[in-house]
Amino acid sequence: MDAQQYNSCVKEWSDALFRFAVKCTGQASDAHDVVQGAFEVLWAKRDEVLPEKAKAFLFQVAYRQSVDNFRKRSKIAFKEAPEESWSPANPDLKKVLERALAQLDERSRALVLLKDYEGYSYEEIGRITDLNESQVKVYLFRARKTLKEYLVSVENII
Amino acid sequence: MINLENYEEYMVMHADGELSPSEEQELMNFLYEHPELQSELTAFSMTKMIPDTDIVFEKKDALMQPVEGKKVIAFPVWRKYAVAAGVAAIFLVSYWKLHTGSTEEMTTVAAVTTPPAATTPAAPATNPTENTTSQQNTDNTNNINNATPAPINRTETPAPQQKTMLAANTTKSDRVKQMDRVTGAKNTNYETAVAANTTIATEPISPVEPAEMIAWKNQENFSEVFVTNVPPASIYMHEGDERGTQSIIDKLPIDELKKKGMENVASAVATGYNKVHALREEISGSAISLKIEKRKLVISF
Repeated sequence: MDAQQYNSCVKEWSDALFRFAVKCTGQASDAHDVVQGAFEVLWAKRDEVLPEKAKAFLFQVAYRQSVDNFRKRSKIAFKEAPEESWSPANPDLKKVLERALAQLDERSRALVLLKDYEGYSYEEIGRITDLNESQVKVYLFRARKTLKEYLVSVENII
Repeated sequence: MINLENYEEYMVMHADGELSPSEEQELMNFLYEHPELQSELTAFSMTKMIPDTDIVFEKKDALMQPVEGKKVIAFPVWRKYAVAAGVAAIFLVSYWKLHTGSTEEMTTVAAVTTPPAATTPAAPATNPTENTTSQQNTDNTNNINNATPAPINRTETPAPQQKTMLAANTTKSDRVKQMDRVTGAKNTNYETAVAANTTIATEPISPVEPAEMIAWKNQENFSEVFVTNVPPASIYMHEGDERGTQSIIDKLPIDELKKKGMENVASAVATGYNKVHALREEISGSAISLKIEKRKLVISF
């Protein structure tokens, strides 16, 4: 990968990576560090990474930095969405989902985001997160069930 | 085989788009048999997160790496406008300077060459119209040497008005003298010419002829009136006099300090214009490219 291809990656993937990191870490400043770190690693290993694999590589680094490292340090302070319950008068499902996402642990949250934001398959998510496909399937099943239960809970009236 | 024990797993995989077509069909059949579970399938489908496109990474430039063989200069937004304003100002001032300079040359040439013609006895009656021709050539300039500023049909005015004209001419003569003192040029012919004009202007003249005709008729005597391509750096003061060369600024009736200031400004503008011109030539002859990308001006070379 040359500098031009690297710059194309910055233009194309930095927003998505930042979005993923913000939702994973819950802090924009931490997410900024994650994105910067991921691109630094990509630049350092540009000779080994093919351009078509760059996106997965970036998410792999970002996942490790935002989930593994932050979890090890136990410094994650996820900023929850404001307490606004869903109701027919307040049909903002997106906000309710944001709060539901905050109920998940870091790994499950990352898996849901990789699936829903980036559309990766179980197999691809497994490669990014160093999990096997069955593990991904189990984690995502638990995560979806938690999200669904939050949505249908009494206070959220769905 | 989907059953009441594992249907949730299939529903999650359905929401994630991980079921094969045959598994999808199997799930639909199961739901047909258990319609009360349809709401659960809907609830699982609603757990799909929607990307928040409002969240963007603002500092992409900080991540960019310089491309080999290409130098990229990314200007912040305000610098782009500053550069554009600067270039526009240089062009404007340069154009103004060039334009004003050429007008001054025309004025000076016309003014200097008119008086000797007035002393020619062969064409005394046409003298006022010659000044008119001179005025046409010098356009809106302040012709300090115009000895007969009154219109031609005023030449048949009674005596009191003639006195007024004489006074006016005398005043202009004084202004010529003052100008000569400023420039330091010894141009005694000016005074002679003004004096002659003073006399001639009071005499009756023939009806006004078209300016072109007059110009043609008198082109032998006033050919210099039409000479405008004088070198910008120097102007001949008078035919027959020693041809001293003086800059236009030196001739202005202002003090030395202001002249120096004007010279500095003119010099700076000329230098700026030359630089821009040279840069433009260089850009047109090289592989430099300019492009505006999003909110940034990018120069690649």
